[in-house]
Amino acid sequence: MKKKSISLAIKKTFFQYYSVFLILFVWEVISRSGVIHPVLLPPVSKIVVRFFELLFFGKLLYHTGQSMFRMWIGLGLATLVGVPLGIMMARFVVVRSFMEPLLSLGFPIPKIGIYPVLIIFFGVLHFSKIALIFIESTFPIIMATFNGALFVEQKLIWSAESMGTKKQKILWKVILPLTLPHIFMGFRVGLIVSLIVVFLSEMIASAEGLGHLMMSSSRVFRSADMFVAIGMISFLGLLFDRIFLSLRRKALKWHPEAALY
Amino acid sequence: MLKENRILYTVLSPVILFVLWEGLSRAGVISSEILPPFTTSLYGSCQLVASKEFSKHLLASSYRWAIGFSISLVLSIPIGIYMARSKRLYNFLDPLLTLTYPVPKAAMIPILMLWMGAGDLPKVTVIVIGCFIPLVISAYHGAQGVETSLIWSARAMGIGERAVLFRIILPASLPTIFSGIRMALAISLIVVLGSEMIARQSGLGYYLFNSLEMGLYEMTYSVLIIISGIGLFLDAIFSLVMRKVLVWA
Repeated sequence: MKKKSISLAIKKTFFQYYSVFLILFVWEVISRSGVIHPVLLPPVSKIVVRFFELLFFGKLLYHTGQSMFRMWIGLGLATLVGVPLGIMMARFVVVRSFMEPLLSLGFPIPKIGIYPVLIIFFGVLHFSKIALIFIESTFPIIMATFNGALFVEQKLIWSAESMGTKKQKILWKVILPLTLPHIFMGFRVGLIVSLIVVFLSEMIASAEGLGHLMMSSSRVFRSADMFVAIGMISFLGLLFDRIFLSLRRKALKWHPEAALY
Repeated sequence: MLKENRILYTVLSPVILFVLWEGLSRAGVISSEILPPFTTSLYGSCQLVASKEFSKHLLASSYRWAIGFSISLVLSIPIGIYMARSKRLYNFLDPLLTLTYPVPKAAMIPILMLWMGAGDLPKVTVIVIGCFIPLVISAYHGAQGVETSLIWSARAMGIGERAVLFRIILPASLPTIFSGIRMALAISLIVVLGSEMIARQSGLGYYLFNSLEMGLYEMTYSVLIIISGIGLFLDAIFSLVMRKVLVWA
């Protein structure tokens, strides 16, 4: 009985993702048949083989580790700064009127342009990349938290206050939980943004990391390795996103609109 | 009184930022080689805009951006709307969009240059690809959210398929499409600059990094000011167009 349901599940995923398999198949055939030179478009199977070769005999794990270290430090700092700042913006008019013009001024600016300046200040090692990731991912987190905390119903805060709840407890028991869905939304955007930015910054100036792997392979025309690098970062993006979504579903079980998450 | 305060506050933080920049540099707290004063950088940007060498790169970037962005608009909005109408297209495209969503698009520039050579084609293509997903998804969600009763009542009044598309579905999904365009706008600027920083042939991204590598830090700041100006300018134009188009919303 159980075996049957597993095979059914496999069948279902296959049909759901049939276009992906179709494209991978066409890709393989075109590349193998030589219509497009395999250097330009290496066959999928060769990319998979190269992936395992780089994983076990190459430095794929090292490069991935470097990228992940930078990304998670940057994203972590952005969350640590962005969430309190967003809540403070919603609670205190002074903070809000100070931050709002900076945010609306900074939001439309392509932050990657700041990267050279960060290199001038912090050098080409970890620091400049972490700073860029921090700047890029902190914007969506602040904005989302601010918007969420702004719409916490005043009635709820009042009723908590009238029951004698202390200021600090109101923050932890009323404001923060009600803002949580929005914080998660901002974090999700920041997650993808930080992955993209770490890869780009490593391609532009770095001696390690997945972006560097892509760049160094492109210089010597190892095209399969290029696909391994870009595939790895995209896979990690999907993986983190999925893990995050399931964590969010657990964390928001109590929420009245839980079905939405 | 309150209104005056508001204006004061709005101007206050940017002014503090610029004064801090100017002051730290002038006072020598941060060496002016690393952080040239704001006024000097601003003057430098004015000089750059007037120079022939820089305007060549500025033109190259804006020309590629304009073509790439327009192609993406024309291509992806119909696809998104059609995705909402046709289950078959949705089943085909949706898994592809989900899987390619986290791919760093600007990072594809080396692969695209391998395929298309070193000219403008890969650089335009990377912009088209970068804007594609947010535009398709927003158009899809916009068209998906159109109330079916609106379409039914229009049909009941004997309106043809085409008119339903242009007079009901398209206008009703415009607000969502516009939020997608805003996202695509931000992404397109990142893709333009990022891909030019990676490919280093011409354009603003190239110019910015070139100034860094030649140690002309003053110029780096001047270019950064211009880039920020462009970002703000495009966003302002976008808001203006949106307000004009969505007057009824």
